[in-house]
Amino acid sequence: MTSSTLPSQTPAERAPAATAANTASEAARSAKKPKVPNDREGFRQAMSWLHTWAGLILGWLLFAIFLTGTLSFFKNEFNLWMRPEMHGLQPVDATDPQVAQKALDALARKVPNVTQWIMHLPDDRDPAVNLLWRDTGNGRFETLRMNPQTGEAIDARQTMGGDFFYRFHFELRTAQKGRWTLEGRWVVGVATMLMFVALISGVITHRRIFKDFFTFRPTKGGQRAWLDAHNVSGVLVLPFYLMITFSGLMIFHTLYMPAGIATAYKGENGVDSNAYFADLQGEKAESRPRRRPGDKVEPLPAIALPSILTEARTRWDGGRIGSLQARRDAKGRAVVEVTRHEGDRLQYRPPRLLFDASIGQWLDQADATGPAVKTYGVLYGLHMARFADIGLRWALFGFGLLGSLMIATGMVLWSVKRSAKSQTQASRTGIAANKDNRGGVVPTMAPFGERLVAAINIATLAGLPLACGVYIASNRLVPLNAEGRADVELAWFFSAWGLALLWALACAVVRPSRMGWSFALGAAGLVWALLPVINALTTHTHLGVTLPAGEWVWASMDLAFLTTGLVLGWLSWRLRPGRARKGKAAEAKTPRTAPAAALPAATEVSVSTSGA
Amino acid sequence: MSAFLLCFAAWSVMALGMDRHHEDATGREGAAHRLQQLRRAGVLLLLLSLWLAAHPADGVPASLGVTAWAVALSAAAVAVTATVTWQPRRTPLLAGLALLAGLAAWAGGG
Repeated sequence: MTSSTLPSQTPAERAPAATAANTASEAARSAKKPKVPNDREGFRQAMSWLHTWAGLILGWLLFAIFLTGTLSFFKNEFNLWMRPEMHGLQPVDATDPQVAQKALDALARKVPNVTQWIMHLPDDRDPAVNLLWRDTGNGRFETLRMNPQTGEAIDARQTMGGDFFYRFHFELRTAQKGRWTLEGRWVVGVATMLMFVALISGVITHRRIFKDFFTFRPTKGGQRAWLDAHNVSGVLVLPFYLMITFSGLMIFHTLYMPAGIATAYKGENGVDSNAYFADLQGEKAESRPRRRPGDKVEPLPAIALPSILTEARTRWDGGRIGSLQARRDAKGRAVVEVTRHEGDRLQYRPPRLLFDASIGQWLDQADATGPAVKTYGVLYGLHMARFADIGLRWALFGFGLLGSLMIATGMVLWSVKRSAKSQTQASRTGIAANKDNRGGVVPTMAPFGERLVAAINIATLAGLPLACGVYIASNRLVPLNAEGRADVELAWFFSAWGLALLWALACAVVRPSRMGWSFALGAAGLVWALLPVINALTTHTHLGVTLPAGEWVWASMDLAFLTTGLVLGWLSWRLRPGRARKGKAAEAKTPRTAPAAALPAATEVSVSTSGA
Repeated sequence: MSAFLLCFAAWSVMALGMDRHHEDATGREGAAHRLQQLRRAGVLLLLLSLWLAAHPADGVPASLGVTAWAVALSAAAVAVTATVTWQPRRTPLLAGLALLAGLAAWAGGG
């Protein structure tokens, strides 16, 4: 460590309690720069402490939220790939009103007394008609996926598909039917808040944010490279992180901050949250039906959709139509609500046109127009990224991966810093003591806390990719007629994650060994790389079919799985137990400060960062 | 796409205006006023790319154009970091190419 690199290292690296050496170098620096007052340093240090602990406490959870949220950018594509029965649907003319009518007719043939249905029309990301319906007043919706040409229902396998990643990332969903969803949203909310705290305190802590803007020095090794990776992945994509974190909090503001609604929306019988939600969505409160479970609702009449669709398209000047809904409003009148496609604008919750279902007459347009509601809609829209075309979507996906890497490098950095510190301490005091006792150097074991953090790092940073891969594999391997099939897939996911945790505890807490990282990552890589093979053995939607046919949505999933597998496998190879010593010998000039068990070697961040 | 290329050019010029990266790219230290000129040129280029993004082709709302620009801004910064880390010598060349390609893409309606 040369004196020229020292000043840039201290701020963010500084452990909560400053050592004597740090204070000395600090004094030297503030003497050089008289402009910087001392209490600013104190503030920065306090922020550094906050950053460290806010990041550590829920960092693992944040990593899981971030990674599954990132996968959710391709929710529709996962949904498709995980239902190979949907393969072969031909794209339809989006303006053809017969598509909706055929699906509706098929529903009427299938179920006689539907009281409400919601129909998502096919678009360039989803070729099928998705129809949710119920024949009760307030019960659960059933889902039908239909061939847009014929309206016939497709008998797809039971799976949560990409919706599992999506649901997990904001409510930690553990079962197909919602379970502990409110609790999950609260936990995610707390984690998101800490993420926000960590982002802001991280910016304050980062002293050379502009000077080191583009700086990444993977060859320097050790703590330096980890810190660079953490900083670069943090700073360059910061607007995205701030946006996604803040909007993520705002989406559930009604859950996290209900006090404002309670104050401003007082009704006769307590808080009138129904009026609030109507305002939020730009609807009239009196038209929103309020039903208790078990209330009887008249079934819907037969509805002629083509004229309604044509008029909606004219009113929107040729804009795309995303979905249709038919229901009975508060007065019991049957209405059809036409919703514009979500990709047509940034603001979430697209405008809706209301029609009388029986005569097809236009009634009303619902759209949020107030400044506050619009701001909320834009934040919501930014988070959901429904507006993003394929290029933008991949870019956002890349940012999500970078964010996961930022969290991951932060977690590893904590371990690296800690073990570097305890090693120097050990070399100062411990070894001397050991020599006194036994006349030889005995390798000291890291404290329990550090070993535990190292274990959970392995279980999360390597275990979650493994679990995701196993989940996708289970989609192909679980028998199609298995009972509760969707939940069986989730059981595969959580079992794999649990096994990874056991493995990590064994390898990092019980008997520290470099195998911990290497094996877990290797297993994850193997599973991901095998996905295209498993797919080829179990379906007809494999690369051998989809590549020649140019079906890129299908093929790119397999190719992306393979790439993920290769990257994970390569990481595992870099971290294999035998390599550490050789690497150390080669890099004798820049000695690595961290011991083997706590962390992967330094250089691979470089590539995974660039790969994302 | 033009937003990404222009942002890439802008960030590259800005990186070339920082002593460490200037030295990596050219092999010698840059004079202080020259570095400052480069950094200013970078800021101007960024503003230009934002202005172009705020006036997208027909049918696209400006809000979506600016959102895409914000994404391009970060993506380009990541790309420039990769360039100055692994290909520092090629930074000026790539910046020039990106500028030309970006303007061409904009003129072509991309």
